[in-house]
Amino acid sequence: MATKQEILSKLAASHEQRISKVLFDLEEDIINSLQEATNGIPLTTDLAIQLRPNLKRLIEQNYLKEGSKIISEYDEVVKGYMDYIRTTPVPDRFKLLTQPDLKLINQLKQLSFSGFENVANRFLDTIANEVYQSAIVGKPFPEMVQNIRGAVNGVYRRSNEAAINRLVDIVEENRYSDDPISKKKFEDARKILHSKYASDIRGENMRKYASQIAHDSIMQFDGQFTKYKGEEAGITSFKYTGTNIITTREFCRTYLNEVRTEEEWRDIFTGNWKGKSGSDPFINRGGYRCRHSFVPYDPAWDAEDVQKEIKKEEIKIDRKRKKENIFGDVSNDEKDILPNVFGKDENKYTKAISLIPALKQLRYVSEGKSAYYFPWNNADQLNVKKVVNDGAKTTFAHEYGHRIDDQIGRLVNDNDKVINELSKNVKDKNIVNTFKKGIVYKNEAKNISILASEKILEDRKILVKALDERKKQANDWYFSTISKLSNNIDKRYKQCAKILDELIDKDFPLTKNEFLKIMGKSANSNILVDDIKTAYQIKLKLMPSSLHRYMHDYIGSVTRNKVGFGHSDSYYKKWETIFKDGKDVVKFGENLETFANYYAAHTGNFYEFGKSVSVEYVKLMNYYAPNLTREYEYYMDVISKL
Amino acid sequence: MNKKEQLYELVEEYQNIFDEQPINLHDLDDDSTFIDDIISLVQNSIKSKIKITDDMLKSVFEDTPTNSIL
Repeated sequence: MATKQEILSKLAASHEQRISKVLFDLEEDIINSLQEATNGIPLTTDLAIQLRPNLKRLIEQNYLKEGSKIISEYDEVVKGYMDYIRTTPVPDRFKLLTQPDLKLINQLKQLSFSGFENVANRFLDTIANEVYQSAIVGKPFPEMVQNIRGAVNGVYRRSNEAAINRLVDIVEENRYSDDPISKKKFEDARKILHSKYASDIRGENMRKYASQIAHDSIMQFDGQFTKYKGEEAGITSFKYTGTNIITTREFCRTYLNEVRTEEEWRDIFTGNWKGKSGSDPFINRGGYRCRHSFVPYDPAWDAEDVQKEIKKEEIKIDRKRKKENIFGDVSNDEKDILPNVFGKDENKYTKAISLIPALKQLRYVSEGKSAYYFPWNNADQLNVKKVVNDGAKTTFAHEYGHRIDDQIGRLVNDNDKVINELSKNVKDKNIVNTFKKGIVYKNEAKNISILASEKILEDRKILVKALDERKKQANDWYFSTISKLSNNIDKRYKQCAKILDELIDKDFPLTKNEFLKIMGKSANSNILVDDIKTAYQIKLKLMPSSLHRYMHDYIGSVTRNKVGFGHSDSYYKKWETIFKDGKDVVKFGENLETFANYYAAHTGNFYEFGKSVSVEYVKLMNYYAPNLTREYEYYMDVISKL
Repeated sequence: MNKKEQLYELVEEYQNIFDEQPINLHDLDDDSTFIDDIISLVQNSIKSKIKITDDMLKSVFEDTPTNSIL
């Protein structure tokens, strides 16, 4: 179920996009109408005055008609609010919409429409005046057309030059895309258009105001309705909600997730900050195009007994859903793959899947292209190989692990109670702040693995300690051992079997059968020199080449490839630093990859020789990186109780 | 020794020489049609003592978008 904030963001973006399209139609209609009216006759002042009603009709038919449709969709915001308030402990009578509420909703909608009308009237005057003045001074027709186009769409006006129109098309096609390549195309095209019209950029054009009204109007509607309903329920305090992106105002960043009384908010809003548009917190929020909104929030709801009540309610809902589908809401693309990869039995790992929204986009990558997850700008895009064999299952589970890390982080990021529980073992609270604030792409990354940064370093220190000496010890042992082995092959097997029995002592992380299984052997198999070499390397916490490639990746991501490997050094280096302890640094890529590998192993998706070897590799993960593996286990326990 | 083990040993050798791991190998299947190309790339790099560059990798792997989580 989408939250009120998600509904607001989605609608605000869609409304802007639709208004943008309508303005192109309007521009064309106006120019066509002027061409028809002046076809063969000179533009006179009388004709200019006669044309005004035509212009008004075109603005109404295009812009105001779409505005009206947009406003009818504000009911979605009301629904989002009602869904939110039903999860709170306010008395049931405040969880319903009443007749006076409907009246207020209609009044607010009318108020919103007047904002659209104001823009329409203002630019009707601008365009009609341009036509009239052109008639007075005898301005050439093409020049008047260009001025009118500019008054409607600014630098995004249509042009006689095909190349310019192509640029405008590129801007429109890619403006709202989540794809980074499309974003880049958009930015480049916009830049060229701005430089093309640098000499006559019109700050005052209809497009600028209309798209801002489309965005702010819905947010204002939400602010006023929320305030009214909050007051009605006797709630006098409000929480400032939303997310941080790169352009988030400092003011919004500072107060995000803060709970204050109405009076306190009004006091705060008397201050000044960059981009402020007015002093009413519920109408103006951070300023023009601000994406944040208020929800009624009583601090008493944080009290433990109230939380228990809320949880009880949530658990009831969860259980009901679990009976239907252990994975919760899933997309059509995920429907068949999830049981195939993660099984049909409910556990804490499937519980995590059930908590997050359905995957937005699944794409299959070609051979030679790495699988990847792309979450930025809420893309939620999984790019994987077709799940046709065990290797592809492991890759899918790994990439899905990235998704869990990202989406669960987003889910709990504004829940201080859950964050406190998750960060129980975190010593440096700056890490918790980093998690809450978010990092990387417009501070969008709020992965739970960020919280495990200290554990990555703790295990790294153990794994790289005296590494060269341990490698030398393994080599010396190997050459010394093989020099003592018999040349008789049968005797040699027996000698190796005896050495293996000695190596697999109480401190060895696997039983003999488990060790043989990951080596692709049975109890009757002959034991080779390579087998005892591998066992000895495991004993010294080195990474033998025969271990699973995702185990290598797990340890490689803990140690930045000092032990084990999977992702390249440049991959780790490209990410932001999360945590520093002296010279030791944890990059975000290390948080990401450790969690994805943890998730793939713990969901039973490590395979070798046609069998699942996850049980064995979970033991090895606990052996090689005990602090980190335990920490992730703890996160999954906390999440399973949500 | 299978191809994956052969590749991992080569990468370890590469790491010992250049002190870095140049290739994203984590989802490379044992039966990938690219594994021979990569083995050959790493072997040649070790032999010639020339670091593997992005361009060399592009000749084997396709690019993924910047900021992708692999």
